[in-house]
Amino acid sequence: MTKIVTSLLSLSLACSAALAADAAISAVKVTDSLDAVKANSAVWSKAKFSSVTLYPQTSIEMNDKNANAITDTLKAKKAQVGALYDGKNIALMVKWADGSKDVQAGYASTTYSDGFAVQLAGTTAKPQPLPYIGMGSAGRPVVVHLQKANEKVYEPNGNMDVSTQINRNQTALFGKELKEYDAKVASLATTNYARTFVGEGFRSLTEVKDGSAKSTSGMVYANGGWSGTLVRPLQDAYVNLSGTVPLAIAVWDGSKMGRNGVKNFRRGLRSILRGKNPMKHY
Amino acid sequence: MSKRQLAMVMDLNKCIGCQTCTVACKTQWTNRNGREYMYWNNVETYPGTGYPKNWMELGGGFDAAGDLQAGVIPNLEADYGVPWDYNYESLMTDSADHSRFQPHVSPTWGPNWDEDQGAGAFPQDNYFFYLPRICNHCTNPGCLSACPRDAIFKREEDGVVLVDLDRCQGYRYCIAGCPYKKIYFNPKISKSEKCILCFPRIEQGLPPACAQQCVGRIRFVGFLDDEESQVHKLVHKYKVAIGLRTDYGTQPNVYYIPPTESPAKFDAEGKIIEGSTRLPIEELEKLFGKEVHGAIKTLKAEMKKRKETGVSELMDLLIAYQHSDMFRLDNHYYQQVAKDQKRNPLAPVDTRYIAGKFTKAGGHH
Repeated sequence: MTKIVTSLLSLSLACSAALAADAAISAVKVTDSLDAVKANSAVWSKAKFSSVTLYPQTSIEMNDKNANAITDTLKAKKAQVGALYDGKNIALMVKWADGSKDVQAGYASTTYSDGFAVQLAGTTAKPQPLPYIGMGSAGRPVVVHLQKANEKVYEPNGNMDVSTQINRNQTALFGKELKEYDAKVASLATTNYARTFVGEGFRSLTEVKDGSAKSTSGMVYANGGWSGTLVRPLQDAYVNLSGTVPLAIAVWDGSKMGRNGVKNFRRGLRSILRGKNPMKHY
Repeated sequence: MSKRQLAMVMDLNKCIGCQTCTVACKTQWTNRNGREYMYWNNVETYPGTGYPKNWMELGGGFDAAGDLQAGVIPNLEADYGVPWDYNYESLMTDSADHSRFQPHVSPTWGPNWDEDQGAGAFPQDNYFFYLPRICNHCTNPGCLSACPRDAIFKREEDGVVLVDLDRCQGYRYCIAGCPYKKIYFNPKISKSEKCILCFPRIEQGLPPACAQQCVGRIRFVGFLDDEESQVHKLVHKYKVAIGLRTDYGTQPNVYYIPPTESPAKFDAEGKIIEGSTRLPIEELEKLFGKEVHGAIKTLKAEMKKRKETGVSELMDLLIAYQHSDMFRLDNHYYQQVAKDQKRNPLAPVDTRYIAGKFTKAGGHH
């Protein structure tokens, strides 16, 4: 397979490095189709990875006592970020070290998953001022691609299939029929927790569910770290990735109670509150 | 703040801790799909650890300045208790299994683990009473304030607090923010869920399942602004119904008639200590604040009046001769709301609970 790196681009994804002097992420143009790119795809050998420092988000303190207690122990992390594009899609890979693989699974109320997100500015005509680094601002929307390491999630799917919501031990089924029921329930689970959101300010983040934002993403854990990949169109109803586009990257560490929703909480109080969500980079 | 507010009053003098309300709620809403450990309605023994364990010490709510206070998210196994199942399958189908009927885990904690223990020394001065709890559908909900996704909302038409399951992403700050710990994380759907005050029933003029099924007839339901409603009379007219832990600053809309009577204590010889009462007023003050004194005074005065004259509107109210004396709901009101909002009156008025408040097909917020 011939894979030609045609250029370092006209497409330059500049990290909005207000907090760090990290290098810009340069997307490399390839002739291969990026439609089915995954973390282990060979095409990534063509990517030029940049080192990006991901800082603990401490500007907003959330209201979770236990998480707040470990906020001060969080340290900056280095991530390697690479990008490819094929004229139709762009593929991003984020690699970061994480000593524990935290996958939200089982019947628990206090476990959290590892994850990562890529945020893109919907308005690029005037890169300065940037959209508010949290969840955009009025008239300056952002798109957020979120990938979490969840084992199985049974979200309401609107299909009214309540018969499969019954606890297996409350069914009248035994033996083979119960196994069939278990299999049917299992087939309804979401095993790849990937979501796309749009936001125009705190608390406005809304999942895109109408198919107008197509993307694929995934996370692979190996050798003490995660590799997260995202493939999305260069252009869609929300983002036009031509030229320089502000980009933000976030990763979450489930073992540190990391989760979303930190920086968009309680606007106006951020100067006095400290956040616990680790490793956000703007 | 909503335009109107539904409220519930529970008469603690009449609660016998039978858990019929708990079962009514569980079979209606929480016996499936990740909710198994949840008790949107529970009845705990007070004094006691409560459900979840030591919930009053887990933070949340607001301080005097109105700032949301940090809280703790309870652990499912240690603080709520794992809902255990039994080995039905192997007993029924595995001939090699000679074990007895047994739970699939060894339970270490659960709701009502300390039921009826109470406080004090038996038999001299031990005491307890039952404290039924549901979501307080607060006027200033801590859960709502804590949510960074605007996924919790308070219905304008009746003040019911609901989770927009479409927006909820399972961050669980709402749980830390609720001082009553009456919102729960559903690990199966990775979202938070809570008591919905049986809004599909309410909208048809029916009381919540917990209130309908209550054998002690302790629960009154109605709109606070309806001067003919039982809840208005108990809360505002007679001021005998008081919110639980109003010091949390959330302005709860579930009110309690405090327990007014308790047996006298025994001395070392087992003789009654005349004039004594087992239930320390300090315990009631802790739950209901200083207002509890006025409420008890009014209740006792009305009891006396009823004894002497045979007449007391308050006592008649609290006796609750029939359901119509307990619930004052108006399905016509909801039909009008549905009409105003151009919705199907037979459908639950609040489709946001299912569909998502901000999700719009073909576009975005």
